[in-house]
Amino acid sequence: MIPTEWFLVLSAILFAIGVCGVLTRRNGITIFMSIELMINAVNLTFVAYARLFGDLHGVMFVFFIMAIAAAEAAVGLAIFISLFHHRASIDVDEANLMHW
Amino acid sequence: MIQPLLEAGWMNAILPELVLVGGGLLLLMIEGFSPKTSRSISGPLAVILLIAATWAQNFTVGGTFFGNTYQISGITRVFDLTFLLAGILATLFAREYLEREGIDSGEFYALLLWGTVGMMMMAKGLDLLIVILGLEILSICIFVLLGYHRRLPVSNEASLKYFLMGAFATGFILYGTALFYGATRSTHVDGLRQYFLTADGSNPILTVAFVLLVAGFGFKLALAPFHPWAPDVYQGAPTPVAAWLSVAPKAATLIALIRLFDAMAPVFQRTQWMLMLAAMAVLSMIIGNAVAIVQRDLKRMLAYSGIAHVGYMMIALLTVRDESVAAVAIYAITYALMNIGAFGVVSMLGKNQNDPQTLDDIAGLGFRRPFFGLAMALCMFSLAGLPPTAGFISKFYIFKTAIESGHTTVAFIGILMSIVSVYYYLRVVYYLYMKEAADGVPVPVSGVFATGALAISMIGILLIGIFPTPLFQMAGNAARELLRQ
Repeated sequence: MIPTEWFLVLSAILFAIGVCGVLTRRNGITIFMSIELMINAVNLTFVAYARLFGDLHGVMFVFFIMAIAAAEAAVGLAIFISLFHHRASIDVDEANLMHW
Repeated sequence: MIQPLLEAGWMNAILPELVLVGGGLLLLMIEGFSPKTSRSISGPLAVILLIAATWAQNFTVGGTFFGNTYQISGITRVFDLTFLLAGILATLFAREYLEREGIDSGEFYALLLWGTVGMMMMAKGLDLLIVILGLEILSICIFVLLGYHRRLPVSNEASLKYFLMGAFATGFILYGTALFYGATRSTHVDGLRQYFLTADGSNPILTVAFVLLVAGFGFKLALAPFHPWAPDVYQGAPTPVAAWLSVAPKAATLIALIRLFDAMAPVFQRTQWMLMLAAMAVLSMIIGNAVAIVQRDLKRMLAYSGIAHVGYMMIALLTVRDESVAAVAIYAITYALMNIGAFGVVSMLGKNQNDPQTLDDIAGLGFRRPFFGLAMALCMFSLAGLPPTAGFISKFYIFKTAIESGHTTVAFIGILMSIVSVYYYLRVVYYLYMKEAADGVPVPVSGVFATGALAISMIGILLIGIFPTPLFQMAGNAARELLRQ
């Protein structure tokens, strides 16, 4: 059996990659993909702990997180389409109408 | 032992939520079948639904439901009333704003009602799962509402910024929860409390989890250093949405944090966690008040003042006691009245919404629209914390509980900073009454709904300011009930 620590380290690495992606990428869709990566890293953590503890609470949590991520994706992509209508680009650096 | 999933009386327990969810669906149906009817009745109907949900609070019974994950108690009622009050005021301002901008339709109000349901779930959830679900229901409604003025590039940009920041913050909250689950084997408040009674807080995973969770909730609260989205989002958002967003989600996040911090109280004494929260509170107060001074855009100024106000509320939460919970609850209600009132006046300025609404736009408003000017001035006095307004008494209570809990330094910085804040709040009053309006600045259009909403907030501010005792007793009793069990 693969030790739980391996899953946890993997999910921590995935989460860190996701955070780096959000901070460095400028394309809206890529940023959103990085956020999805973070959320899936969380799912992996939950499942790993649930397996370790042998209870279903963590697994149940994952189902809800997947639903949340799907709902967020639907709204998020609509926002990007609207952004594209306004600027013919989804580069988030171009969304800079407001700053002090 | 297998418990029944639905306890007796669950339907009564969530009656306010059911009213709002059903009402939102009704609004959508009307919009779908008859857009014309929807334009004329959906605003008033939404207000009626929110009042019905307030009335439905009478039928709720205290207790825990849904497998001990959903708690109805005095304090959740107080916070429910705050959310409903914020919803009613925002709806009243939205009605004429949407009509003027030509974007009136039923789904706006439906999203507002569902967002309120999300906040009620956050306030009542005993399990972090419920809190996060409520938070997401709320967030998704906010994403859409922010971008509701579709033709405006700034509205779209506000929606984009809040979406990216919000989803990013959600990732942090989820990861923090996952690590808490790993360390404590539970995501339930009771489970966490059990664990923290004996934990010494030396487990590094716990510290990481706490930092992630505070960072995530800090984003939602616009607490420094996680605040930079707030001014941009408030400026770009449709003004009634900014009014609602600046108040209600913060109150919901605070009550969720109260439960969490209460469960963690033993660890707070053994670790430096509280110091981190204190640093964030101080930073919020300093950044919020200092940057608000240089803002000429009213919505950005209110955004920075909001960052400072969250800082004040965090002071009370450094030690979770009866009085501090009551102080936060009262502050949330007061803040809803005065901040939505101030945003409401800004929403009535008949200017192109893509341009900043600056101080120059309210110059001479006190003479051109005396009622609006008076309401704005009262809201500003209250935000500045001057007697005899509600802002004074609730700020006084916050600092009093903080000093009684031994956070003298932080409270002192708070008092100092709220003196600084008087400058930029009174500058607004100066512009209202001492400046002449420039040529070509449109006179704000007055309307029945907005006037009513302003009357509600003015009466509320003065009533709480002059007769605070009943509210304080109610909140105090509710807080004792929360912390006793």
